[in-house]
Amino acid sequence: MSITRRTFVRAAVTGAAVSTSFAAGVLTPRGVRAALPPKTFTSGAPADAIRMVLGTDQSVLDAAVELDVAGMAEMADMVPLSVRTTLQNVESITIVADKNPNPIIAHYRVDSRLEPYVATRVRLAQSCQVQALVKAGGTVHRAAKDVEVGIGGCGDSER
Amino acid sequence: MSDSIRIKTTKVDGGVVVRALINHPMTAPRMDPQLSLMVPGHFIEEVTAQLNGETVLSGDWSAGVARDPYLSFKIRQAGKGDVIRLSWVDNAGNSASSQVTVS
Repeated sequence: MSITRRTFVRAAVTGAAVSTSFAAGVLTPRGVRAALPPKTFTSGAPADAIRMVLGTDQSVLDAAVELDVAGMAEMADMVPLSVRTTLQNVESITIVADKNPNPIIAHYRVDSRLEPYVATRVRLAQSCQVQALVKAGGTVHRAAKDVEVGIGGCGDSER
Repeated sequence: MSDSIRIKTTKVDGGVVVRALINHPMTAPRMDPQLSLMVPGHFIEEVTAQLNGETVLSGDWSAGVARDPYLSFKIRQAGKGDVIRLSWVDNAGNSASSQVTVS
């Protein structure tokens, strides 16, 4: 096969992209990344799951953590939710729904360049308490809100 | 699969708000009542956001994140010309990434 200018350019660009991705950590092999044990997301008890993710299940209720979610969710499989806080030195933000089959919905590690704010849409199995856990300076701060769900969700996973 | 992510950035006071939509089924593991078998589910497990090549946000997701996930966050002191890259890996080993330059 003769190397045309086009194929050469394409190969060079792809190669460069792959190596920069590696350098940037995008394509880090899964084993290398300090990932959470997969058990975290299959554990049934909220306290156990929280302990596995944050190292402790102790948290303090703190008005500095603001959890914004509707108290009545029409569609349980698409509940908009956001967490923000005025706390400093935030390490991580975790969203927990205590009656979901996998209580930990999302766990975000945030860099200091990030404003401590995340918004996601979540799925709730049934009406339950939603918690936002913010780890800052070694302690876990909490905000909680009861959410009543309407139709949908993944309720039959309870069986 | 780079078109599976749509990223929008908005410059605000003190930084840039990033809003992203990812196309993904995000199905939960569930018990099939007829077969009495666990159906594993298909969902994104890791999501990473980078600012100019450096990771600023990394998230672990369970199937509790809704279908076609929406993610929004705010980067301090970012502005015009900064490159924001978002990537994900799901439990089937698929991955995708996409990037935008703040204008």
